[in-house]
Amino acid sequence: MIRIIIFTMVLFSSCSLLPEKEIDANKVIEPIKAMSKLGTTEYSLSKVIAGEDNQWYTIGTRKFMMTCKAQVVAGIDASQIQFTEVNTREKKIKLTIPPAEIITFNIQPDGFNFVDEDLGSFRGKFTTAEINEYQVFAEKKIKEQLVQINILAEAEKNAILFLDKILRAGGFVSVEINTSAQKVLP
Amino acid sequence: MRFNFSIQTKKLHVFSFICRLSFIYYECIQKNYRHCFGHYCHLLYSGYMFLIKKIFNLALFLLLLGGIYIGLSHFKLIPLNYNFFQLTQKKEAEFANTALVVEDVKAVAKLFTQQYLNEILVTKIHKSSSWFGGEDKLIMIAKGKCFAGTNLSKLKAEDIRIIPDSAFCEITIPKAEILETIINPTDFQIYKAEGYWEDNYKATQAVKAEAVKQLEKMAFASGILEKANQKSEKLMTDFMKSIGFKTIKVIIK
Repeated sequence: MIRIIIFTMVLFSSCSLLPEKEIDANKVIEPIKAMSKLGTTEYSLSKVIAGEDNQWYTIGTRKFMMTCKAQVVAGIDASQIQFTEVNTREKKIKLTIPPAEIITFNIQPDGFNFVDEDLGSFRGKFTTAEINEYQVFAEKKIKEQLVQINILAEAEKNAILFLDKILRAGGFVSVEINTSAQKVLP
Repeated sequence: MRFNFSIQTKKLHVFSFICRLSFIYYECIQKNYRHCFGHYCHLLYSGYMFLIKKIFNLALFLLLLGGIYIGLSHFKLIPLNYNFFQLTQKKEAEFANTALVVEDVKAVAKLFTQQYLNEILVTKIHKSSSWFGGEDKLIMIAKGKCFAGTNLSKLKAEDIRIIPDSAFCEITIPKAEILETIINPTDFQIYKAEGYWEDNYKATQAVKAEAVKQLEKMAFASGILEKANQKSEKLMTDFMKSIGFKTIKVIIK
């Protein structure tokens, strides 16, 4: 009896070790959605990912190095532009643009390049699943580091330049574009 | 510490048991008391069996305590600071801290007007190279987005025509195009990668690139470009209306 209790408890505890792969069956995908974002800045980024895999049960380590390229487009929500003053007679216009935001973050599958791997004598090759994990790590790391570059400020500046150009082409002589103080981080 | 002590004690007892057994045997042979030997052995055997039983019961008790502790911690009924299964779980790889390099910065004017979202089930089969034959499968789910819109960077000053002192404006914008198709690494879920696919990174990468193309084709087939054109036209009309024009003509070229 005691043995059965112990076995059941150990079994229950070890259940949490199994990887959880959940698919949200209730999720409904709407295939096409309208949007109105004006992308004004495109960044091409790269990062080197160097790592070491060493487990307590393995003999020797495995090291790898890969490069990752990402493209980020930032801009503004065009539907949120607010026209505060429009004077067609005097050709004057004042508007406020919404805070800049990251519109797309793109890492193409061929954006990864496995530069080097150093496998210990008793270690096997890196598996597809492992490399996928490292790519996910690279994506997360790049997203984290995005805040360190002034992509949003650049996007805001380019949005102002673009709108100024369009409005002047539309006949306005005095164009004043203000920015919203709020910043949207990725 | 207690555990080590009991093991040492057990070793000592076993050693003592063997010594005594040898001594009794020797004594019995010398004195021709062969019949006594069995009696002595039985006594000693029952004594040591009692000891072994005690040790077994103690081990069982400790195991039960451990089981209760793990069970309670699993259901978060008691705080757990140490994961008992830490050793059985695979440790994550250690990564070096590297900088993010900005290779290029471009000023663009892309009007994103439609996005297409979908999930693709990617299944690839490769003939197995094993002696038993069969097939090696790669199964993954790719969840991606395809963006369509108008590239306003191509817009020139002459594309905006205004009749002076009238509220008429004519604007010519380029046709909508697929601006980006994105399936990032987090959007791929690999369910099976066996045999040929298990450690063939380049082949898997090629399959992922195919998935991106497939998503783009699906978006194209869903009529995303027509919808993007309509939306771009509406956005430009609304924008021009907001700045005071009453009659606006948007030409898509």
